[in-house]
Amino acid sequence: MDYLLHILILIGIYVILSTSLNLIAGYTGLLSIAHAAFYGVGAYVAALMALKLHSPFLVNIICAVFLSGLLGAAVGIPSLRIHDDYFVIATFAFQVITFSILNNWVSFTGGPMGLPGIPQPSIFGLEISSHLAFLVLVGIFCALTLWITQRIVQSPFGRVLKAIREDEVFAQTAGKNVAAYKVLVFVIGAGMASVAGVIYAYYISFIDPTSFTVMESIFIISIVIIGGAGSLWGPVVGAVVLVTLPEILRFVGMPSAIAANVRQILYGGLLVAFMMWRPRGFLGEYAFHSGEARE
Amino acid sequence: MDVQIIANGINASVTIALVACGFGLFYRVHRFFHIAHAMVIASGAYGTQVAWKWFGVSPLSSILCGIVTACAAGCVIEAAVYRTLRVKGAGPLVLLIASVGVFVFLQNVAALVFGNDPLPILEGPARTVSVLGARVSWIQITALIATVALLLGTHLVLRWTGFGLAIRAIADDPHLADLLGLPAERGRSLTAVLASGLGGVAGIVLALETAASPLMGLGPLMFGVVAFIVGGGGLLGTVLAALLLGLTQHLGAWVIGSQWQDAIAFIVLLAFLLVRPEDFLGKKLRKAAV
Repeated sequence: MDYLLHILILIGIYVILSTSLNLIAGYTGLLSIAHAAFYGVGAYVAALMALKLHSPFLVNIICAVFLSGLLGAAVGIPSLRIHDDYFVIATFAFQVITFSILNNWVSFTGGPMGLPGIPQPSIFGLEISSHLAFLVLVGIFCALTLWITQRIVQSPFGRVLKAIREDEVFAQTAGKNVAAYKVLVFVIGAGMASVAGVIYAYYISFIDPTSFTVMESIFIISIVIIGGAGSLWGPVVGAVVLVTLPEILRFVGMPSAIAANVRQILYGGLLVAFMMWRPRGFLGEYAFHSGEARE
Repeated sequence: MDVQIIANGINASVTIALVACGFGLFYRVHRFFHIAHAMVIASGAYGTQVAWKWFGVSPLSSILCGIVTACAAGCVIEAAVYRTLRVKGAGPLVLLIASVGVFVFLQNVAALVFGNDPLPILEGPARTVSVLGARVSWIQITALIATVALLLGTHLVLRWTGFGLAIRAIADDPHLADLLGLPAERGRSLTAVLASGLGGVAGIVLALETAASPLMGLGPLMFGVVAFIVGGGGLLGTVLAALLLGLTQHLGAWVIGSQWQDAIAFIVLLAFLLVRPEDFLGKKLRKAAV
């Protein structure tokens, strides 16, 4: 039973991550592979505050969202000057630098040894310790993330984001402050992703930099792409498929030594297959076309 | 400052230059970031490894086997994945994503076949000689000479042969090249072969110096991408940028510690992207231009 709950909690965490990335990549068209950096900043801020300051869960989550949002603004700023594949490489640079800091600033982040012994959170005196309690917590934040995302994309703000995705120059011509929108969507997306990091840190109670690598970023963007970029439920479908698919391998009796590799082969292959035959994913409305392809 | 640091920096820049020139050649013709090039690099290393260790082929022939493996890997990836997508009119982002997929796929196939642990080709450290007070191994000297020769050869091919002319024409304007009846598809395949050959040599050098592993290509590829972008796209610029990057990394490592090498490379990249973000072909950025 705990196993099933564990899978559901993981799905929840990835729903938050991919939904927030969907705002950036799916709705605004800014393909970013820095999302694991925001996720990691959230996890580390919460873990460090819980361990060193013994501050409560809700305070930590607010600080994590704030700091991750700042990093989000920093990642968003290059998008004002560089585009498409060059921008992808710029976000990659942020991802590598963040990982490097988490991994090498040993006196502060614990380096490769990570941060063990993160205490169980309590909200308004309510201890959260069982799998079920965590599932409820994740569920609440998932619902919140999806609700906020839905409100954003249906608002005039969201329409401008889509306009930027389809034709940036046009959005600018229509008098929209494209720069502000881009930076803001990064701040929002990064803040949401950090919430997933906070929950992950409290849930696993041990974090180390290997959870926040480039490969993790690629995994999150795969969820968005396979699920469907630019659709509210796309990332949810993607998260369910990509998190449960490798678990099926476990049931067919694949030894765990090779299961990790087979899992990656699976989603690497899926990524290629979807690009070939269904670039918009299961439910998506955006297929990462660029201006050139439509001309 | 130590002569040894400069020697190490130059040595690092050798593989960066090879990777960056291969990657850059590919980018100029295909117009997208070929991330799977990281696995082409590794395939060169594994090709050599298998020939040398499993079949007992002589070292020189093993290296040749490695280069052929890398060329074949690049050619197959291009034909099987990129061409299919190109025919469907996929944009650079779709190709980039597919390329990441190919990389993840092949990296894990390699891990299943050869294991995740690094496999050294040479037992023990290579013999070293002293050059101007710096210890360098014979592998490093050979690699430096071979790289200079290969890049010079690439330059000559691009500059003076019909094939090179065709490649440059396709790179400059694919539509016009089509109109003029240039064999664009063959040009693209041959570019993939040439670029993969350069990448494969880099992989073999790396494997001889340290070891072959499934993820061995990613770091060098990323440094290569940085060098390519910083260098502005031309062959000479790329080589100079690789030299700058290698030296900066090793000087930086000397000042603040070797664990920060990755961060240094990418801070250099971000600085360049923000200061000088123009497309290297001198073309204005597409979305910024009306």
